[in-house]
Amino acid sequence: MIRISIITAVSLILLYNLYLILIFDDKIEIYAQNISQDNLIKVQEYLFAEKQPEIVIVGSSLAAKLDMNQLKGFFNLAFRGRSIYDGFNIIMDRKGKPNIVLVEYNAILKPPSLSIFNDDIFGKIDRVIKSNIPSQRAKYQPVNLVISMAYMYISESKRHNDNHSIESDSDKSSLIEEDKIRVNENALVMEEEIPDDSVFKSSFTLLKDYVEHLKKQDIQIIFFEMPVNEAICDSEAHRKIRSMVKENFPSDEFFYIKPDECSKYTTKDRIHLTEESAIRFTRYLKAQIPAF
Amino acid sequence: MGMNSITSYYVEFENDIKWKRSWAIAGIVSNLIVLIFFKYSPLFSSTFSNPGNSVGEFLISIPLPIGISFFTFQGISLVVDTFRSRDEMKFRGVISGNKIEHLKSTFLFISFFPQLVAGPIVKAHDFIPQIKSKFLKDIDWEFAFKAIVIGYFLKMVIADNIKEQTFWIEYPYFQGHSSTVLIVLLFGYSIQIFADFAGYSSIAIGLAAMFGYRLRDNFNFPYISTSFSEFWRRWHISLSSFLKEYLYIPLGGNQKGSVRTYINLFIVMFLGGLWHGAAWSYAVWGTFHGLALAVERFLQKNVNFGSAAPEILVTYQNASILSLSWRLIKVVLKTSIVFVFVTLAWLLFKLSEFEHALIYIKNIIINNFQIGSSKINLAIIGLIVLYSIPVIAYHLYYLYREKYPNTNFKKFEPIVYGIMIFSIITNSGIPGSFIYFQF
Repeated sequence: MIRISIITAVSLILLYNLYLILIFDDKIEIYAQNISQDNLIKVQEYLFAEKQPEIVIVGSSLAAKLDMNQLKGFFNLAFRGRSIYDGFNIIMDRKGKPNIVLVEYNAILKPPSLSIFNDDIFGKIDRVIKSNIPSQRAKYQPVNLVISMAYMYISESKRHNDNHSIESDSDKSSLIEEDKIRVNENALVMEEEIPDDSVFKSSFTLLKDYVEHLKKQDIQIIFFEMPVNEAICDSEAHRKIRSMVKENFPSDEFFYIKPDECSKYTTKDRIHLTEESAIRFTRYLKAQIPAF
Repeated sequence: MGMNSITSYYVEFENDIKWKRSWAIAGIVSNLIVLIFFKYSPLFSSTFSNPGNSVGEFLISIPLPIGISFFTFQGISLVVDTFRSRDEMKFRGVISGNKIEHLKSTFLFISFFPQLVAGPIVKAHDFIPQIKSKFLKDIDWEFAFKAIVIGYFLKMVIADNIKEQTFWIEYPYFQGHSSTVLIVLLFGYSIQIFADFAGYSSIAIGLAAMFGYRLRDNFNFPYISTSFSEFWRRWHISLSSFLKEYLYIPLGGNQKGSVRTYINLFIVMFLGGLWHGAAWSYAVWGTFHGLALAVERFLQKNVNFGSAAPEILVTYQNASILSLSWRLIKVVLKTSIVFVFVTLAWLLFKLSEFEHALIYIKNIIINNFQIGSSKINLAIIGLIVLYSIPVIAYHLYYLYREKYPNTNFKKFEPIVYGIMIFSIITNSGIPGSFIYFQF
């Protein structure tokens, strides 16, 4: 009984890997089952990519909204529900290094996550397995493939029937809720309370360590700010973060992208841009990059 | 361990019954003191002492030793079983004549690693007689393999994937969801907590079997229960049987009249609730179940509700179509009532603030039921339903086997286990702690 079970399992794993390598169309957009998995997929794609991306973005869930279709050659290591320091850790973990790192500084006060994804990401044996066997990557979980294909099928038939995109208004409103509640703590920090000086001090000490480390490897650091709701754009907490960033990372040593006017953009929940605004801000950001 | 070893030893070899009883009481009380000091003093301090009180703050800051709820109960079991061995045959053989041998047996009994951290709670009279030299040829590898594969599948594929959706059952996050999503989330949590704990228990049972020890089943398809008493015979069996043997029966059980029986049920379930965690919400959870058991007992005595599921399944074979349909409706109705109640009560596990649980229920009532075409709602519902299917199928398969014991599905078992291994390797969720680790 045990032998047949193991043979069945091994055969299924082999067949599934063969399917992924030989038949599966990698251009199909894969949907993650949840935010944690979405973050994990991003990490694995970065770590296991053959070619080192030249420009990497680190940031919070705010920068995770950027429209990456416009930023070809960039890799976005801004994670939803996590701090910007996770992005730095992932950059350091890969052998090759990018030429430029764009650092979103809106949410630098959010402390580093307790566990940096999972030990298996950084474990040597697991990394060898995951980089060489596609079925072991989060992206290629069978359920991901099933839901992505189902979603693709539904989208196609809906488009066929309605002659418009599945991303209807109600669709967007639900995503608003998602972000609104997920990052509630960020909103609190930035809107209502100015954290203790010790929080600022420890956050900037940490950020400096990471930035200095990257600078030593000749990586160009560019700071940028994501627009938020106009009402909180110039809040005391935001002003303090801005001034401390400038103080700690002087503009004669570091590059800055001039923050765009918050009034030009709309947000879903006061801190996260709507899809449309994210597309426009990405356009703005992209236009600023060639200057460097 | 030393304390349990010494007290149980003297309970066995002391000739004077008064001294025997004193040693037994000393053993039980010292286990309870350890449990109360580490697990409940923070709760009592936060409830009764003023903020800033140094003693209160010290008590709150005491870290909780891993597995304390389990190993203290096992200690009590050792002492009580030894005391009972005087009168009851099944408790004999717990103590060997040699002090050192007994200390070694106690050490192994309490620290046996597969079930040390989160159970199942093992009773001394079940485990200690199994301590002897083990040989590989005596190991039931197939049993161990099956238990371990089922356990890992339930934990890594079902519980860990559903947990990413039931994340939303957290205040204030759940408030933005429709009633339908809130109900599905609650259903998902019910499946998750079963898969998580039954998965852990199954792994522990499988690992123990690899070392030649048979631990009793901790779960027996609890969600098919047609009554609350049946549910507690099928859910966390090691705890419910422990509470029954070591608390309910010593309190008098159902032998001292109706009122005492109801009071005993309340006490047992209240303490059983508190055993799960040092928070009043667990006590409320236990009291809910105590109330349900008492009401059910009262109704069973006064209203005829028919028999439990397995018996009904047997009677189906001879029943007419009409009565079969009626009986089936009754079974489905009763199973649904028990499941809905149990599922609602799990809210108190997930939301430790009682007020938040009430807000959740209020949101189910006042929010609208529309799902819309939003991706997030469809993902929550779709994925919870998808990952619940194996658990539902697992329960249905059990019912089917009960009804048609001669059906031979055995030949398909290796394929099913192979698929489970494939799923564990390719489709596990983001690892999370076992829910019962916190207890």
